[in-house]
Amino acid sequence: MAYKYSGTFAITAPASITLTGPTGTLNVGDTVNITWTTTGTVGNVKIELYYSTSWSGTIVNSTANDGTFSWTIQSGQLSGTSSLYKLKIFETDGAPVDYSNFLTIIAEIRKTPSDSAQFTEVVTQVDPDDTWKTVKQPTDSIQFSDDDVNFDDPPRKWKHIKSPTDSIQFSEDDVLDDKRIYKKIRTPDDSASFSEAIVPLAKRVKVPADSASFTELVDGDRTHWKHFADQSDGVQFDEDVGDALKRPRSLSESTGFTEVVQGIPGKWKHLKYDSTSFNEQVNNWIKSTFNIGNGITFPPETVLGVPSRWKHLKDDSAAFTEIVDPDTRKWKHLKDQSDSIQFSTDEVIRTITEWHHITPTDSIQFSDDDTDYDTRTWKHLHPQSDSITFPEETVLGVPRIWKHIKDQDDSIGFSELDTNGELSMDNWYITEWHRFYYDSTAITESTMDDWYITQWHRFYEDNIAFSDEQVDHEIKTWKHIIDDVIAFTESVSDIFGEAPADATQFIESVTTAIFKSCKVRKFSDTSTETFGTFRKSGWLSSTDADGNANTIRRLNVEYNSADPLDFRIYIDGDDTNHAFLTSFPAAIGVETTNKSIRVGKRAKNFMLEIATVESTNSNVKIEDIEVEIDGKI
Amino acid sequence: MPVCSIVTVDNPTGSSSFSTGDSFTVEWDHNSTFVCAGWRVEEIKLQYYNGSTWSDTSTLWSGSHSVTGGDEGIDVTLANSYPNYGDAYRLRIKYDEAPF
Repeated sequence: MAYKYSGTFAITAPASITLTGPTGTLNVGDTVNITWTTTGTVGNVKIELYYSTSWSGTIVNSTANDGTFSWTIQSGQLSGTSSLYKLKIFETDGAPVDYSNFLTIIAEIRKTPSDSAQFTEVVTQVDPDDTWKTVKQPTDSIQFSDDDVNFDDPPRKWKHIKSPTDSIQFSEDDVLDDKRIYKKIRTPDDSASFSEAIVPLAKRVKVPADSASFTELVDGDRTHWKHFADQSDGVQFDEDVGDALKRPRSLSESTGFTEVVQGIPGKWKHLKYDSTSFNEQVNNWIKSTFNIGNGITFPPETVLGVPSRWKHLKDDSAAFTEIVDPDTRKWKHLKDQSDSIQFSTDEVIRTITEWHHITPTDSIQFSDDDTDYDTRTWKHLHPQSDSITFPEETVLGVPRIWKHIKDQDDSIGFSELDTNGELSMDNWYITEWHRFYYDSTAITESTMDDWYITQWHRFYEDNIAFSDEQVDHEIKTWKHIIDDVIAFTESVSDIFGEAPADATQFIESVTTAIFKSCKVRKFSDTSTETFGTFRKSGWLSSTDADGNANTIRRLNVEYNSADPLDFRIYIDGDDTNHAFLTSFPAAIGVETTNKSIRVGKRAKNFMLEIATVESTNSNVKIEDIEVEIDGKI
Repeated sequence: MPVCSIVTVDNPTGSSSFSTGDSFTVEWDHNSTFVCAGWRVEEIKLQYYNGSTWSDTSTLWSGSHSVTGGDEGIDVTLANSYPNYGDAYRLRIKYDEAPF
């Protein structure tokens, strides 16, 4: 039985909304706070007033779901005095919805004579049965009708004090001649005498540049503005608009907000134009974008119980978009997908050697069980600039030798399991190392018929030398690549006559190679041939002591000729189709010229032909012809 | 060594978010080959992380689902309410790994 875990995901609470206030009896002109709570994800809300079961008025079309809305009860919203009012609140898209309990709203302000005690001037001129009337400006003022006034007793100063902070005084004679001047006083002490007209309630004249999206102007203490562009991205500024707006641009500045969204401390939503710096801060876990400098190797502490097992394969910084629960060690690196590392959660928990690197272009992918079985699948793909040399401890099996070519354009590929779970190269063993020239396709088995699995190859420019231990079979032939051509048929010493300059890096001496040189023909120092149609030839055996074909390694000629000399080699009895043709250039005036050329043909016997030379001045002197072959003695 | 195993869970992912009552398909990738015929997923549990440990919340699905039999996913439905909310949930997929 095995278990696999998904990534960590979220389950959000179901959306709901509950009105919590106001309650009881309200009066027209009152400013009350409508309050509510929500669960789940609820955006901006709409609040309406219902009379019985009928819509009576819209209080606000859209306001932030911040739990409170200041409502000044307007007479136009009412359908008279009743105890059948209800508030309805719902998300602007229609749901969730909640209704308040019944509210009693008094649609008219009716003051009884008993209220007169609050008047700072006498109102005894008012008959207890007089009618009280409401006026619309100021909102909570009361205008007395003509009949209420005793015209014989000027000046008529009428005052109505609704509350100490909201009192209104009427000036003289305002009733009769429409010179009504309204005054607003703030304290009872002021009410004794008014000398100036009240100006309309101050409205802010400064709004933020993007005020078009403001749907509400809060005029409490003139310091708080609410910005509800679409009710889902509300930003509340904590300073007066006359000052520089504080608009937090990063998490660290988020304390500038004076309220929290949805009542969750520390959780801010700021999604408008300046929201690039963050989306959300979530309790407990952090979702944010941050950089880890030029981090290359994560400290051992990064992974619990697995020191130094985290690797970062690129020189550039990692930009992790998420850290999810350090205990489960899930890191995602999603910068541009070209050099990322993604560790899954559970692999690390199960087996410390399970690493997953899933980027296709620049990756190292380790299979699940590479340390325990001989089916180790290792892939190391281009490029090499971010290479890693693995310690021997990485692999528990044999052999524990890992090589890495740094700064090469090519790579090392290890044999791997095919899709059927079997070795795709049956004759290969896990110790096989294959080097691919300039990222060429993998060398298939069919191209290496003459090779043995223990053959190790040294490359002329790359200087990879494998130790003796890696060559543990009977054929310890060292191969050498010249001019980037893979030619494994010649020994180093025979080609160059001496060990190459870097031969010291070969662990195994090339002198152990078993070659010999064989001169097949030698002319006398004084022999001179005139070539008209000249052909020197003769079949020579080139088999070794076991009768195996030898390699015709090199043709060397010392000559003096005014014309080029053509040489052909026929092999294995075929004297019609030459297997090799070379032309030595003219060497006029040169008494003796030692020219050699590689041949590289296998044959059990061969014939060397000095081909026809077309020349009018053919005075060709062959000093010496030497053909080298190799083979087991 | 489990030759036949679920390699990654493709859905839900670390960026997934669901509401109560939501249904979704649990999807995964596996590394099974022809030799893995018959191995099965047997249970999907919802787990919650309380800040220090993971604990089972509920079993979203149980039964026997052939991994290599075609559909590589199982439909599950979340409950209408949970004691906790937030991005601290994961799924645990229990499967019978083939004996290879």
